[in-house]
Amino acid sequence: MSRYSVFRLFREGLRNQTGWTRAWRDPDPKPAYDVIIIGGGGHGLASAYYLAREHGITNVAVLERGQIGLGNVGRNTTIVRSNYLFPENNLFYEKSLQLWEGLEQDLNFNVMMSQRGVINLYHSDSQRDAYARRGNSMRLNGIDAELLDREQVRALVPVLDFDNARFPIQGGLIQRRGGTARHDAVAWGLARGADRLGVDIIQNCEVTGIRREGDRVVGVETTRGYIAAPKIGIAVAGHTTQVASMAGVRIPIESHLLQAFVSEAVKPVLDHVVTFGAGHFYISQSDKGGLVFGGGLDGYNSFAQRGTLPEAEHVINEGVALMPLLSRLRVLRQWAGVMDMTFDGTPLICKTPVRGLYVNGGWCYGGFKAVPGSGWCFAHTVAKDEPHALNAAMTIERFRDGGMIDEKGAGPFPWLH
Amino acid sequence: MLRIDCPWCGTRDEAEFKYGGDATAKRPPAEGDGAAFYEFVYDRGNPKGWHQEWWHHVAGCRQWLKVVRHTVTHEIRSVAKATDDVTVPPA
Amino acid sequence: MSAPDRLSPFGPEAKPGRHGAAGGTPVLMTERKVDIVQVMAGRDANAKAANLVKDATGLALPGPRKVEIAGDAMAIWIQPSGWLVIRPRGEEGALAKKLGGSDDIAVVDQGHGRCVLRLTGAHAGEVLAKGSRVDLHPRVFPPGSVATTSIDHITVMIVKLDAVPSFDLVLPSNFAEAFLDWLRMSAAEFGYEIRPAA
Ligand SMILES: Cc1cc2nc3c(=O)[nH]c(=O)nc-3n(C[C@H](O)[C@H](O)[C@H](O)COP(=O)(O)OP(=O)(O)OC[C@H]3O[C@@H](n4cnc5c(N)ncnc54)[C@H](O)[C@@H]3O)c2cc1C
Ligand SMILES: [Zn+2]
Repeated sequence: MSRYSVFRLFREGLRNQTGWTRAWRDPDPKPAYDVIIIGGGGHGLASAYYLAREHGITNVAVLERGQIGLGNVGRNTTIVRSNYLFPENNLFYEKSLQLWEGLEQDLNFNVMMSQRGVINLYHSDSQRDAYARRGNSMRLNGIDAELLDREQVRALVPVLDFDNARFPIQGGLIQRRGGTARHDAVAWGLARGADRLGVDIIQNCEVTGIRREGDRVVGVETTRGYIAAPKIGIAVAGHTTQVASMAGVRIPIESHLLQAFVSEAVKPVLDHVVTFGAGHFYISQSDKGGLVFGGGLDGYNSFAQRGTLPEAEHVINEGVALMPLLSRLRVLRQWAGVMDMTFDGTPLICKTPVRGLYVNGGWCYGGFKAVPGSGWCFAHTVAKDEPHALNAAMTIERFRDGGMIDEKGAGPFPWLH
Repeated sequence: MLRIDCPWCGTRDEAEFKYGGDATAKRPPAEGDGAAFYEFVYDRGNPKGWHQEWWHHVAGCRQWLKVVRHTVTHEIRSVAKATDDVTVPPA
Repeated sequence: MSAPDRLSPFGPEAKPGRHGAAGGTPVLMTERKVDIVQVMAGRDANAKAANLVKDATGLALPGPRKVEIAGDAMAIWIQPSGWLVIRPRGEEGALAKKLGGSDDIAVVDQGHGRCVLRLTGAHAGEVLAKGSRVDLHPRVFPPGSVATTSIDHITVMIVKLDAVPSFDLVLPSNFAEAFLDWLRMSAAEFGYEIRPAA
């Protein structure tokens, strides 16, 4: 496992790229580990990485049912930001954004982190006030935010339809440090980084049961045999309720579909990430030139990993209302991921009623930006058997105790968040 | 695209309906304790398989319907009136 | 003294005349001047509602997906225990008053809330089919059928009147103008004629 560098690239160029080796090992599972992380998506890999790096716990296995990078971590629209209203969220996501800012150096891997700025548009006076409030809340917590008027937005993103009859653009809230990162590169970089610190990344290993002795966990049944561990962390995104129920733990999450779309490549037209305030729609342009966009959920419980046409039509309608030039482009690719939707739109990073069993899930639409922060907090929670201050509110008990963190104010309906 | 066979209107596209979530959640009596309400509001089976769910035929007869649908294949096994009891196939 | 003529919910653009492709058989569009009353029966009150409507209008109340037509009056099934009674416009509010209602039967005047557009001509079905998810083929949607659906995001009741085919479209008045926009676009390739309201 050698370091990647410009010199390395140059040398390999001279010898026909023959000197590259695999980026992480492909070990067989050992009979026992100190910690097992179930799920090799962004969150599972980051958790293992920070367990090793921050807490010196390296006897760790990440068990992945399929292959690294094929879950939501490789299916999202790659938006990274920390522009939340509530401090329980914005402080956590800000920690994550700060980790993103140093991640490439930490991992010695190019995740194509691009802080191009995220602009949330507003289309009415009340929406402007809501964004002003959100921006103030962010600044109070030391996070960058700036309210732009219509002309300031126009200077940055001239291609939008500012005079849409129904939804004229009045301005936007920009977080300049927000942006995008290449999603599967993040998975590969974290897998390589964790592997180098001694973590076993075990692919094609599905967890089929969680073994308990009394009120604590002792190991997992898998398609590659039984593996023992006193601490088990669940980070399986859309399958959180399925895996938690293997240990008899019920979690307030429903699984729903979210689609993403990529257009044919065009010359640069969009330098920022832009979200439409009059619907649920967000768009950016990839380095290859494709416009990457998405919208809301398909709207009913699903594990199908494929989107349906009515929502695709709806998303594209929104896109055309915001950015009329989209109507002239072809959609090249479309896909969907299974989202772990909580009842208040905020995630869970916490202990469970079963000792030694921890949950990291409920990421809804927004878990990609959380990857390093969530891994960092989950590693802390697992290592110390207690949450860090940043994730102390992200518990299962908050639903019972009235501590919901409902940014959208949508109420206890997972498909509306 | 789901095609939902409304017992009142006939088979219609999902675009005419609004989703209403898990149809097995039962509201406890008003004097029920906190735990019962917690279950009613937050505790869902979220099955990977057959799911009983509410759909409202908003752009049709405006009736609430109870649909049995598979959450992986999206196959719809039955559509019943809100007051009907339905049977759910084994996983 | 008579009330002034109502403004058409279809807006100023709905001027009588021939539009779209020339030649062929145009689709005819006519705003119908009607009274519309909604009748909703409470639990176990369907028979009572049927008697009420029969006495007041001579119309029988139809079952699901059906319309009862007698001359230029009709009763449309809209949902379980719910119907619309429609007939040529008379004195404002008179039909609702005549129907009355009771503790278990709600009668609501919809004469301003909804409106009716008649669409007739050989291509009328094709015009609707472009925006409708309902199968309008005569085999499954014969005269006397009704379907509530949405076209261009607007809820519309499609009543099939005869084999021409002719349809009465019952629309929310506040979306009538937007609906007509869509309808004109859809009908342009066949040619269409807007007739004076009747
Ligand atoms: C279309 C789309 C767009 C999105 N856009 C954004 C965005 O712009 N910004 C943002 O911040 N977030 C976005 N998200 C959300 C983000 O992608 C997810 O919240 C996040 O990736 C979920 O965490 P993960 O990476 O760990 O999930 P995953 O990559 O899905 O990892 C979970 C893994 O668990 C494995 N697993 C499941 N069951 C088992 C088992 N029994 N045994 C072993 N392994 C198992 C799965 O195979 C999977 O690989 C988007 C998501 C989607 C689908
Ligand atoms: Zn119906």
